[in-house]
Amino acid sequence: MRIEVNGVRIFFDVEGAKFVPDGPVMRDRPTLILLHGGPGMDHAHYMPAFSQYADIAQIIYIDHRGNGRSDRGSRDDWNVPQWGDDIHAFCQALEIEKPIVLGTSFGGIVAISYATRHPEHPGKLILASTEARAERERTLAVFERLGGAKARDVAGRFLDGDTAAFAEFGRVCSPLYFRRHVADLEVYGRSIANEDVVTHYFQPGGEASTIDMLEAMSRILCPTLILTGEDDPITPAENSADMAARIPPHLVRLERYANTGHSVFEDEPRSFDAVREFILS
Amino acid sequence: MRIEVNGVRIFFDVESAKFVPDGPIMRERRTLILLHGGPGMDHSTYKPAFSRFADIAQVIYIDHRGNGRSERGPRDAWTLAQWGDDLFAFCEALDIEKPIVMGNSFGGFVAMSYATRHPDHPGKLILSSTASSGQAHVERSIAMFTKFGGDEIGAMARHALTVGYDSPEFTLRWLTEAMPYYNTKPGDPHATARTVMTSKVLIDFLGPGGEGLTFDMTADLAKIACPTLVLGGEDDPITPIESSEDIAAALRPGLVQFERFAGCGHGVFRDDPRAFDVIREFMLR
Repeated sequence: MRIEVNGVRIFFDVEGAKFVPDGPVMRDRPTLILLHGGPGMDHAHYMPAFSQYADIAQIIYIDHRGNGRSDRGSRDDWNVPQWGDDIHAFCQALEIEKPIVLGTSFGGIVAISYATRHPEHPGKLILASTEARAERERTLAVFERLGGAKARDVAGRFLDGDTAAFAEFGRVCSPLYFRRHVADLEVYGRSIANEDVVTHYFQPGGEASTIDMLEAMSRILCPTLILTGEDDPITPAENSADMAARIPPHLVRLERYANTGHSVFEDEPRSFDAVREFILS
Repeated sequence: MRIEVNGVRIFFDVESAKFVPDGPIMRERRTLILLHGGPGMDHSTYKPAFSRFADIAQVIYIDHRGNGRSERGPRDAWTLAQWGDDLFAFCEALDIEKPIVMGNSFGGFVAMSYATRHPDHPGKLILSSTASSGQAHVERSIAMFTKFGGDEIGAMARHALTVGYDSPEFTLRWLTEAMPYYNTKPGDPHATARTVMTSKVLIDFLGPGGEGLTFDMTADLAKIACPTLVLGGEDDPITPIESSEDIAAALRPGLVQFERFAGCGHGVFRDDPRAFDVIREFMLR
């Protein structure tokens, strides 16, 4: 399905009913909204792994504007505040209240944008393998630790927005995202790619390197679960620690997984258990 | 979820995904939209039985305007034409193309309204235990209620089908005393408790002079342009098998599959689970 939100048609898919029969009552279950990474990918990377939550929640997968099966819209609107506002407007259009919003990587950045711009709206947040602000030196240090000077050099050029380095980054650095997981190339085949939004986001001076929502995180009012891998080169664990420090302690839980890269869901099966417990808590 | 359609917020629930991973591709599946009966009932009457189709389709449940968790809206818009147009507008608002639309009983009336008013829209129709006219087989219906429930139930049926539900007391008596004869097997004892009931819309539609007693879409059925499965129970007293025969006869011959179920009452799938197999095969075809 697609629904018009802020002038573009946003694609969404659903698994698991909101109301389920339970003896004499219809039980109302939480809504779990999944925000995909990238940008330039789509919701498919959450499937089939996240279908496992259909027993406890209504799962809604969204393709961000400019991504997947959603309308492209204007390039001027490919920015983190707009993507965050789209989630809020999407929920308003469909009367989704107090959702649990989970974002991985870029999806987490959108989740932070949504939650800091509309703090009263989310019921809970799950920020997986993401960050509120890029930390260039931390990223280069982890790439060097995992892949040596060559990986550091290529990653540096990629982070500078040198589009000529994108292919080499894919060859030299992308394999360093994972510690235990063997990349399932079919996942990428199932995703609709949009290179335009990738190069837009990662361009020199683009939001990938300049976005800074770290101080804004103190506005978050809902329980928040932060998941990170100690060996994540692209959104290093220290970035998650920085985010956790900005949220009142009684609202935040930080899980750091050893021998885990980007994302936690690829390398650490316990991350799925943490998500389940947090949904049910 | 609810979405604004023709000025009212329409509730819908979704059981399963439209796109599912299948090796290197995302496989696109059919959309099955389920229209509940009544009116005055809600989508819950399809749960959990119709969850079984989540393996082959995106299953969408809707509460009609005035029903369940949807907004009531103005009373003068509680008409089959509006309910049919709402379904079309709902699909437009959500980019749903060529849906398989199933309606049971009153839901079938709405499905026929939608399909005759927007013949290019549906992919397939499933018309279960329903009727294209509110008046065609009244005497047959009264005779069946009399046969199953005795003279008093027969007299109540005559009142319900010729005068209408003219008081809350009569409506309650009908629901508690006559409705048990709709089916040949006992249903889920909790089903009624799970339903958000709206007696106003029921009485408006089936009360004296209500559209439920007077409508007749039979002549319009020839407009329907998609494959249509018609399911009827031979022991259905409220929409007798003759009503299903009328529908099947009025549809274009190459498009209709008519299945009659012996020993079944109203809502054939409630009395004979083989109806689910017939629906599945029809959906996959």
